[in-house]
Amino acid sequence: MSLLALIWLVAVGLMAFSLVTMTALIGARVLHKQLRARRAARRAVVLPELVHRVGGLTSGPLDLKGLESDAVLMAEVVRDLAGLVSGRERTRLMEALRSVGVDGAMRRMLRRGRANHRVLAAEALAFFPGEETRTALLQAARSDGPRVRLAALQSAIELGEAPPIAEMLDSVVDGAERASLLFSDLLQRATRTQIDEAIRALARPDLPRAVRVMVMQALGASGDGRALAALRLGAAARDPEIRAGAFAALSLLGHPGARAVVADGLADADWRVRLKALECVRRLGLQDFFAEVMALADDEVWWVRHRAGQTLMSLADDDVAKLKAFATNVVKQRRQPTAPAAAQPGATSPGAGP
Amino acid sequence: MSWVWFVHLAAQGASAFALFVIAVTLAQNLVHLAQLGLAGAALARQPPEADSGSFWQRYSKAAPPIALLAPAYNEALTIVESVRSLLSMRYPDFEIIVINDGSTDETLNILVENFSLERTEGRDYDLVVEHRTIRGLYASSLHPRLLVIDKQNGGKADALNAGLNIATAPIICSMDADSLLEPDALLRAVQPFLEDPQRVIAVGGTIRVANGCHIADGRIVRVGAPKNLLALMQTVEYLRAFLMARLAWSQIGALTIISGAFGLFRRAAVLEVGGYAHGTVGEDMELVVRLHRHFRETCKPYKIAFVPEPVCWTEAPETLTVLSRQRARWHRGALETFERHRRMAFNPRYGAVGVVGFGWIVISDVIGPPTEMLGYVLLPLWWWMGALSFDYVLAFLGLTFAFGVALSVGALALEESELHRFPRTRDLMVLTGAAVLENLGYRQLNQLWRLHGTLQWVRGAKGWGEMTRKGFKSR
Repeated sequence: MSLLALIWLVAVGLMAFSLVTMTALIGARVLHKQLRARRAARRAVVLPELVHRVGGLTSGPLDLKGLESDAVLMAEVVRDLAGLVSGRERTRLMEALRSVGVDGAMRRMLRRGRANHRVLAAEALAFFPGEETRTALLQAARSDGPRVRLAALQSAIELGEAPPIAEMLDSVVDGAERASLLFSDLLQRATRTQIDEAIRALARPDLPRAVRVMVMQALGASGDGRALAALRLGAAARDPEIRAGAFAALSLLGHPGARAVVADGLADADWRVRLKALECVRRLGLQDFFAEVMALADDEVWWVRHRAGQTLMSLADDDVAKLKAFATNVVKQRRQPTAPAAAQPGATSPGAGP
Repeated sequence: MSWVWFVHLAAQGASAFALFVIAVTLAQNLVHLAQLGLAGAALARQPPEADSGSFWQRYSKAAPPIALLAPAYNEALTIVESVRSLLSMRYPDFEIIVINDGSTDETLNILVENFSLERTEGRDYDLVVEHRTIRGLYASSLHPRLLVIDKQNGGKADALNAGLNIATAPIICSMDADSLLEPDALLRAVQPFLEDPQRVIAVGGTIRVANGCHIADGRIVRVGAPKNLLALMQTVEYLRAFLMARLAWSQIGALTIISGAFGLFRRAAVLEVGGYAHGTVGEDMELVVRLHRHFRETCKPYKIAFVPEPVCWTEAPETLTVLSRQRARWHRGALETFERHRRMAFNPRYGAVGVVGFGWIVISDVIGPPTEMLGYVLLPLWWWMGALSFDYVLAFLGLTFAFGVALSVGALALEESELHRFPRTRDLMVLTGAAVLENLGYRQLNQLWRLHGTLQWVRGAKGWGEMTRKGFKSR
């Protein structure tokens, strides 16, 4: 074959590919439309039946006209409807759905299929408490797809079946799970029922810094006084990011016992620690640190000055003399740029903010 | 004797140039094919989710605060509808900072009147990055999420820098005040920050052409193909650029641009590199390249991501004059960025962004437009002189055309198989027609405008040129 013929062959091949692709897409579009219409029709059959059951208007065996076998449809319906009702109404709904095997279908869908469908199944299973659901969710929480894993973990936690904190942390340490903000949120929710385990986890030497801060934050958010000692220990850590994390957690915890370490935080060499210690003072309303906070209104870092100002405003309350002193100080400092040198280095630079 | 010598020389030159044109075209098409493959694989790996209700359930609890920075210069026509649309966004914690960049029309007064704004002194801020003087800040107790900065005119980059200083949220969203955001745009775009908070420093989102869509109360209520031919061509072009090229490059860490119309950035990272650069019309691209450069040079782990779901809708120019100005300006911006950071080109120290990202800029932006335009002029000329075979010239043009169509169809296929944003089958057919037609005239015009941009860059032109818009009144 000559070069000329080859060029034309490739050109014609590409045009044929384009034509076939567009024809297939338009064909698929028609099919997709039909599928959507069918899905809407099926939903219109299932929803009234379930709504009647929720309201107690029907009893006896649930008749979904065989549509209970459409797992995706049922998952969508469960997620949309079960979230809207509670108490007896939800119990009636879930019992009826269980009676036609919807929970089993959800568990099967969670095990295999497209990731979007598996996530949907995990979310729907949050409404079907029980041993089988727990096993299925925890198994999925150890599976390979990150979205499925997190959805399953979330549902398990919502059902009060959180896996052990140590296991959750193991998954981050060995790299199976990312230390994401979504994970952090789940860790906080799991920690509420496993305070002692979370405290013990802080003693693990293999925890990466970011995860250690997450655990401290989770302990702080739990509001449980048992976390105080561990967080105070964190406030004295060598790593300034850990110290800052500990003060952030202490302010979340809101326990007056944090007072003992706040002075050190306010005098810390690292601006991030001073900033978080100020938040702690504000949150706890520690009036006796007024002078130290006033001194920080003259800090070299804008963020610290800014937070000191906010803290003073909240501490001074209606003490006019204190506010006047503060106002004089602030007017002097207002809009004074951070030193250029301080604004440049690293993501942790003072200018860049917390 | 001299005529024979001249013809011989012309034939040699023609052959060499023809080979060069073929090599450049082949390289461009192969890269496009690779982009199509990468984008397809990315969409298959993580298919977008259409259901925004479940988005809220999944992500709202962990979503960090975001400050939307919307620079406005003489936007009196569109600003109220844009801000109303922004105020009704679905996101748990956000602030809208409109920066009136010294508008000479009624932008500020209209904002003050419509949103009951009052001058405020209750906002302290640090001057970390430089910008022109702020004349005043305006806020309203009726709309606590809204803050308006009134400042001296300094250009878009300057306005964004003012917003950067004032914002306190850890994530900032830079956008155009005249664009429309999807209600869940922030929740979708913030996902990479949620999933990888330690590394992700910037996220780009897909921009779509709003012409032809039905708009009500600052919202796209029905997506449609534009009736204007130029806007139609741009719709296909945007699909190819965002759904194919940018998604593909983001997969290998070579994304060099996040559109100024919509992009999320970690505020600390932007401040760390000194904010937006003055003196360039491609401040969006320049910032992304500077972020790459800084994080590579300081050996800090980072990631610049891209979300393929449409998050922002923009009004495409419908006249040749405005479109030509826009394209020349974009091209000039790309060349300015290339010039500032040329040491990154093909430099393995900068990884994929140096080799692939900058390599692509060289092929498509630096040598692409002049080569293609010269090809259009010289190939027929040389054929006329008998230095090139007509059959080969025709076959080559046929192949280029077929490649162009196939790539646009590929982008349409990605849109249709994963996103389904065009509800009517008719729109899909119209877009297919546009994918064919754009190769016959529009593509060549585009290269001409880009060549004009190159000349502007050579001459050191600085202005933005006038950008006339109709505005998003409900239609």
